[in-house]
Amino acid sequence: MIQLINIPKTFDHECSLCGISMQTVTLIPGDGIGPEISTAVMRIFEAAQVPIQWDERNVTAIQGPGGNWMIPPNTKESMDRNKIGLKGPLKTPVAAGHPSMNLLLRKTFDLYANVRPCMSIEGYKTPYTDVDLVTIRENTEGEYSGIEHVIVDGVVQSIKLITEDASERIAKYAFEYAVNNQRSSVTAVHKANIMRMSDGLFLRKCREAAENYKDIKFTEMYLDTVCLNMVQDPTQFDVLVMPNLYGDILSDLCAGLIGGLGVTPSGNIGTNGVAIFESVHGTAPDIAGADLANPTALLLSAVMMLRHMGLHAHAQRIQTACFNTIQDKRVLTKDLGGNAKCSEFTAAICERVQDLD
Amino acid sequence: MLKPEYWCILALHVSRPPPARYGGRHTVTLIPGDGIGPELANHVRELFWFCCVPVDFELVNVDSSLTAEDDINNAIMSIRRNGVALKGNLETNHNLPPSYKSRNNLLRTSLDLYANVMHCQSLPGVKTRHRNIDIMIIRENTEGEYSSLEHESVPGVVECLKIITRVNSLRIADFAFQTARQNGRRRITAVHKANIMKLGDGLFLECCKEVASGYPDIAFDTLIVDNATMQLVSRPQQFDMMLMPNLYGNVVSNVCAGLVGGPGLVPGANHGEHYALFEAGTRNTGRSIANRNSANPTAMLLASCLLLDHLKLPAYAHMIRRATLSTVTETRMHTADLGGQASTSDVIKSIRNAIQSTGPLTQSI
Repeated sequence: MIQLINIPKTFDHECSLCGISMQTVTLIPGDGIGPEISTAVMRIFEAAQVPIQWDERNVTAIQGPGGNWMIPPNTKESMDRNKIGLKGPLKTPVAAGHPSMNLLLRKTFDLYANVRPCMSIEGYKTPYTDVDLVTIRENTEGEYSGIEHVIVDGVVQSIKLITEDASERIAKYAFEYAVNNQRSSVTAVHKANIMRMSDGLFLRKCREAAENYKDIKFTEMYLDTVCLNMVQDPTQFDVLVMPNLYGDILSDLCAGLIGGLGVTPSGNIGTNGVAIFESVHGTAPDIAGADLANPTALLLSAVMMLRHMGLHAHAQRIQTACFNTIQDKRVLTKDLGGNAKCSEFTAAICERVQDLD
Repeated sequence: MLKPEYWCILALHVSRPPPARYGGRHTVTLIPGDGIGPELANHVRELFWFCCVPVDFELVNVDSSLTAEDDINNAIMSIRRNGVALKGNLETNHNLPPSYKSRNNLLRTSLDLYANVMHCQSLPGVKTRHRNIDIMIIRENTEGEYSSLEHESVPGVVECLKIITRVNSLRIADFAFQTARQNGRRRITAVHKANIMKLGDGLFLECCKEVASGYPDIAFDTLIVDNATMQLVSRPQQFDMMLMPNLYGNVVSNVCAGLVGGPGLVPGANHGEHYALFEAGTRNTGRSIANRNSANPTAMLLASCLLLDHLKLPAYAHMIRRATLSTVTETRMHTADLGGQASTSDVIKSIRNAIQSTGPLTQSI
């Protein structure tokens, strides 16, 4: 069961046909294989009769007055209204002159926490079984502040920024998450032996947050020790909270443990109740439009979204249908070891979802 | 015509171990460190004595609980004198204020030990999830994120500086390519995050590419660090040699050590222009298992073999290495970290037996 934050639901309107309250979710299909996997998710949700309607939007960067790059205002307005979003992969063209779209989204909605639950998928074998952990990564500052200078020719400094406010916010979120999702421990990952002041501040804020959640076990561990232990025995970890760079590395490491970015869900939590769920793989331009893509990552992110919205029954049915299809091995996309098309894989999941009704 | 003394001085400037003194015996600084360090250092000393290795250890104790830096300065002076050292990890209490610097880091930066080398190899008989791993990791050891330059410009806002310089990046890249050539490595993968840290890691990559162009016999490619870790846990066999700045080196070397069986198996070497320092690769103190006779001595013993290689004593190095590896892979005398029940002394005894039965004259058991 995954519940991110308890936010008040916004019921938009009642479906005139069946009287169920429909919630609107902003859908950003993205680029490359984005549109096909979004369609797959929409089909599965329809088959599962999820009371959601989609508000499809685009996020091509536009230049606003004053020369600032921003996302289209109607997309922003849609997200602000709906609060919940589902996003496919976005491409960042090199030398486009504007920052990456993911970065723009992050800044626009102050998406400060990146949450990746990593659970082994039965039926998709990796050398690691029984992985069940969550990485919570501070997503706004740290090593990714983008502040760099050339001091003299041949000497470059990159600034890692750690602030009290951001550290406090992410630490509090990590414990809230642990409580809301029946997790027993939170581990802060750091390198305070070397980066005494910055990671020291982060650690202090985690310790302070731990004081308010006495039921949750709090431990601290060096980044290198976490890496060392993670590849030997990932079952010893539960919830991990850490600054930006370590989070980037560890969340991808954990994704690798369960089978890669093609099967890993991800959610980004922002201030003001905004939450955007996304698939974290690339746009795969080489197979775009060929009906070969694997929609699992986006689907599992959508399931995460359903749980966040409180639609647990639907979430469980769709997740079970997806895992059973993978476990069954008869209809699998190429990256999962089969040779079925995306549409065939989607149809198989739809069928199972309807059977589970 | 230059006098003979001048030839000696010239020769010393070439990167070579110091000449043996006092009748062909080398003096090596030994820093036991904390946790399991002292017991393992003792085992190394006893084993060297047993094998009649012509090495005398100059023991330098560093008390890492003291805030004064006298101990570590003594150690540095000793290493400057001897040129070569073997050490256990020194604990850093990260709750102390920033004025207390990591002793291990101080050693590396003062002695300019710019290259950290770790060779991670799958060993038969050690149960791991992946097989056939053979990765050499070259990590820049003095700058990057470990520059220890931090300040709080505004209360509640801390800045930590990551420094990348052209000089050090070129140096480590050159070291990597030369090492690759010497060891028959065919491909080097540079690990970076230049898509985000465009200037810092961008400079590092630029230097690596520059050096790579001078070694056309060695293939060179690059990989972003998060993708690298993901690839390492799914298909580590694809990597040959990996080259990276300090922090990514920390992550990748620990991941690789975990993949081949854990911190008890892999030795590490730190090389500078004039000095060399050998230690267990993943630099763990092992506080929780200290003084219980349960630590795995393999990493430390293999580090001592690297030391012997460096001192140009290959016969002794080979003898001890063969015995140590056969204890792990053939006799399979495994300590707890490898899933076995042997004690440290059981393993040492097994190694001594192996040496006794096959090696040259040793002291009697």
